[in-house]
Amino acid sequence: MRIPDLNFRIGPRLTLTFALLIALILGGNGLLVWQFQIARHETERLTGVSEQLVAVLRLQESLLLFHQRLDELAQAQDVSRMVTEAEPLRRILLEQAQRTRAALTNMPSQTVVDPAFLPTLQAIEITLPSQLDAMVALANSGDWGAVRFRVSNELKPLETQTTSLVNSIDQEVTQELTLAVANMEEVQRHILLAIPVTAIATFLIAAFFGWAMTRRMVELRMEERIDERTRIARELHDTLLQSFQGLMFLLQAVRDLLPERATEAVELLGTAMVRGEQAIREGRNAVQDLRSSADMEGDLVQKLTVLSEELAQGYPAASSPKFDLFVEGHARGLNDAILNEVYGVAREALTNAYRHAKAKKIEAEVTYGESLVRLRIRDDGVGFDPNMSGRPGGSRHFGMTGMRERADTVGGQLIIWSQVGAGTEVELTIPIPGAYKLSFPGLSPALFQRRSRTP
Amino acid sequence: MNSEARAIRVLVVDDHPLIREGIGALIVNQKDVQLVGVAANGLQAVEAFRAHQPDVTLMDLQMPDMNGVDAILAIRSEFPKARIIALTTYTGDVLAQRALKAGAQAYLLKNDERKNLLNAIRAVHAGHKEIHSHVAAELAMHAADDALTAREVEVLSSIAQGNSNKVIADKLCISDETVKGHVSSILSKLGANDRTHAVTLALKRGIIDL
Repeated sequence: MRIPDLNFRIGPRLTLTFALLIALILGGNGLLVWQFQIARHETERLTGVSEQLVAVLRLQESLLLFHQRLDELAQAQDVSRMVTEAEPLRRILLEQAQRTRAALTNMPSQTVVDPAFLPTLQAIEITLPSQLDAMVALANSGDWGAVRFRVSNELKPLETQTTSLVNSIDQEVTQELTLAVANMEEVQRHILLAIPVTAIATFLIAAFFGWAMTRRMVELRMEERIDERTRIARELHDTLLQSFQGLMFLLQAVRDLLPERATEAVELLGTAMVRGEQAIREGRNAVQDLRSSADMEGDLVQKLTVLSEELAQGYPAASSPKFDLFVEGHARGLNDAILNEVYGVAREALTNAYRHAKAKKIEAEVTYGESLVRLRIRDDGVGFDPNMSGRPGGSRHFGMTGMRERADTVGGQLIIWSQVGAGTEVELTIPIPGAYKLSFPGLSPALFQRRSRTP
Repeated sequence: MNSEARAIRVLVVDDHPLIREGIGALIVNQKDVQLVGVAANGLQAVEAFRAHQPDVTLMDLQMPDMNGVDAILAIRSEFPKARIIALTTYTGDVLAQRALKAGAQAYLLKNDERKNLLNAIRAVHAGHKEIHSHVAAELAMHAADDALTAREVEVLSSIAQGNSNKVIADKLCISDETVKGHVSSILSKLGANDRTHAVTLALKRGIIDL
């Protein structure tokens, strides 16, 4: 029997679909990440201009406070207060200027600082302290008129400059805001489009992929089934049908002899009956072969138990050998092709043990390992001379050739140990890859069960 | 030649021992028919024919080591007057056609010829032709059909062995697409619904062997 491909090939078209699926998922997510990046960029720019606006408004406020305070001092014409308050006033203003400068340098990287901002700040930092000094000097000399004049005239340009800066930045904020809103709307549109399109396309391709995979699996099953049916038909034709036809010819010959040549007829009838019995035996073997491959449900251990019961039926109850079955490791479903061959070997070995070994005790042992599956059948029967079975003609005896062929088919190793009077042990070891059944949890097992009982 | 005087000498070719024995038993009882030899495959059949030069040969078609059709061809090329009866279980028109073209005078089915077989041997020996009525009907039914090409037969038997298009393409050293073309041509020529159906029909008609 041909072993079906143990490595599941999905073919170039499915590989392409799979690649497309991955590409689409990656592409869709990439698109989203890109859109979010744009959104973040917009937010940062907006934050940048807003912070500028806040900074310049604070500056403007402290400038106005400075002006107001100086105005009051000039009105009060109090030299000592003017001298004592000049220093704190200057400090507060310079501190505010410094904070503003710090705020400007800490802006988000993309922010474009208004080109008029730094010069204005510089003008405030340089001009105001010297103005203040000059005003304090004028106050000391008692020229309050000059002080008032300076307060109202010299501070004016700075205030105007700052106000225009506020306006310009305010305008910029409005512009940025409009732009940002537009951009964000676009981003929103893109995201709203990208998510469902990616999701739908991914779903469709994934669905196609799943469908194609299932179809391919069913196809493989189908091919296996054709294979199986072909084999069954051949088996039936080779054994049962041919034997029956031969028998019918024999019986026809008997019929032709009767009634004149009755003695010859009886003799021929005897031959026909012997041939009939042979045919029944052949047929039974063939059916057993077919059943072993058609009856794939049920695990090896269960099948061995049933088989040993069947074989024991050939014995009178008292003289039936004692049968023990041991299982090591966690029992797992074997791949159909492998199960078929392992069972074939077990059947041959057990049949030998029951029929020819005259054993008192027969043991079967199945080991489900991580890297191998092993079957051992041993008996305490008469055994045989291994050298005899190796000779031409002798090797066919006890079905050794068949067992070796089955072992080879599944890439397993068969060791047969026996000695006259010391029993026989048959050991089949199969390395794992492909030995265990693949499980497809999402798919109904009924889809994959064999339904090849009818030829 | 006086056919009354001596018995019809018969060679039986079949790979199944019980069939040989059964036909042998049928013939042994007859006065006018004599079993001169048996063979279990095509190669043995050609040798046995040379050795015995039988009047009539009963030839099974499905055999190992040279099938019946090839054996008929080989025998007829050496002995153009050889009279051969194809005796098989297969009713397929294509197999029958091949056997008849190879030179068989009769195409009979094992199931139905128990009583007739001796008469058929006598008839063929007398120069008549015999085709089982069922097979004759099959032949008539498909007479106008397009025959499959040799390549299509090759592809079909590969499908019957359970191979996928890809494996077939690799085996025959052609492309996947070419295999697909062959398959669709096979389906339309056989009137099959799908691959499985095509294989079933082809087996039934004897286009491919098991």
